[in-house]
Amino acid sequence: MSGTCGLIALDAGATGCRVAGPSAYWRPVKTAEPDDSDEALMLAYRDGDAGAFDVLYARHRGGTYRYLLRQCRNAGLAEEMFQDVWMNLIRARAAYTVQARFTTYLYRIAHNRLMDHFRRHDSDAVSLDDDNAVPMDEPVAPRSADPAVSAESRAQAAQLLVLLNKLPDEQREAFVLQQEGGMSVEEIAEATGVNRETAKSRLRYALAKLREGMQPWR
Amino acid sequence: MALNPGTDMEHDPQLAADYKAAAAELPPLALDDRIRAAARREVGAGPRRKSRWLAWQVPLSLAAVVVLSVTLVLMMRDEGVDRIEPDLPPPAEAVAPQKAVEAAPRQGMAEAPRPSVVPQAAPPAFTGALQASPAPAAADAVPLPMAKVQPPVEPPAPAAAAALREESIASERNVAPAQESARPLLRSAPGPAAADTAAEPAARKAAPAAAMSAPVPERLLWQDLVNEAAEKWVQRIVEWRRAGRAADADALTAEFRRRFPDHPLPDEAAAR
Repeated sequence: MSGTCGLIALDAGATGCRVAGPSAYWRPVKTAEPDDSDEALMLAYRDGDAGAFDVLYARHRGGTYRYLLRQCRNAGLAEEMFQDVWMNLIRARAAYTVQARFTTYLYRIAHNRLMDHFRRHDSDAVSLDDDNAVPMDEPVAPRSADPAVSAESRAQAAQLLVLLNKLPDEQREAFVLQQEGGMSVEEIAEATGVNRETAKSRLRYALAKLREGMQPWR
Repeated sequence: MALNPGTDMEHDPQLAADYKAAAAELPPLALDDRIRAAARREVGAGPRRKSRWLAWQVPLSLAAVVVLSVTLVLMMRDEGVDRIEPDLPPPAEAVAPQKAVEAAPRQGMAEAPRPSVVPQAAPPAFTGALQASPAPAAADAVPLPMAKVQPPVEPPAPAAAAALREESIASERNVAPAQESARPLLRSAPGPAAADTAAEPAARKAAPAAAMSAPVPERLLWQDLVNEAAEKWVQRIVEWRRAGRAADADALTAEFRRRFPDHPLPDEAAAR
């Protein structure tokens, strides 16, 4: 992708350039690049660069989806909430400013969406009659399992998912945020709306239980 | 609880590797397409721009307010002159039109100038004359079309009084045809008693404008006769006919006939 595409009024047809807005006549627009930070991409999208959103979405679609799936344990519901989260992000783009890491912002939206759902449904996210429901004690087989990965490794991963499902929601959430969002304790605390010590405690408990459960595989 | 080598309380690379191997779920491609399309649509819509009407709303409103304010001020200023001036105390010379009317016949009709349509031309020398005092008399007048307000004029020097009087008489003659045309209206006007009741609001409304500009109405000509007997009216008509004031005499005759329809009118008075 090219860098700066100059005044957008002269170069509106270029790839990644946004449609000319009122401020475009004096401000050059920078198009998104793959190595841009999440925040820069979101700012570019805010300013009208649709290509920036594509990069951003490609980076975070899996993590966001899995976070929602782990927490609600229902694929259909996870998809519905996943769409809501991204649509909220799209709608809020005009007001976006960099106040924290983008992942913190994104997972905060996802967390809030989950909380809305749990409040509405009294925390009963799993329906046993639902075909999409993921059984608590059965590992989810990876969809794109690498053939090279040994059967033992896959079994080990499945066991981890079983253990993860057994964790309390808050501890599981802390672990998944760390793994999917690459978030620190402080960022987990911010995304989930708790103080640092609480987030740290949740994460420690989660790690301890998982380690203990995975001990036979080590 | 045994920790893996190289781990701390909040990080475990082994667990992270295991999780990475296990976490392979992805959203359906159809959902991806829907979200990307929505993102592009949002950008394509661009920032919500104000419509032209909204952009011009404030300037147009301000312009309208300014124009209305200026118009109102101008209108109030124009109307304010009419409304304020009648409240001013009448000038001393203008006090006695009635007295003038009373005095005029006695002094001889030739010397008593008729009410003039040019009140500002009335000099102090004419204090006793009818033409100098339009304001109070006009209160009883039949409302005439709005007349232009004439600014007060400085009284001329006594030396110029004679010349001015000549000029005034000359102008009176020029105006006479207009007055003649207005007479039918005056003749059909109700009498004083009726005027006080029926025409009072209208007359009061018209008074300020008429007082400033209208000629002394003809009813003033016989105002002093209102309570007099028919003989007095006949006597006045005869006097005026002798004095050559045919138009006034005709008006007076018409009024006389209206008031005293059964009273005979001598030939001398009726003759034209």
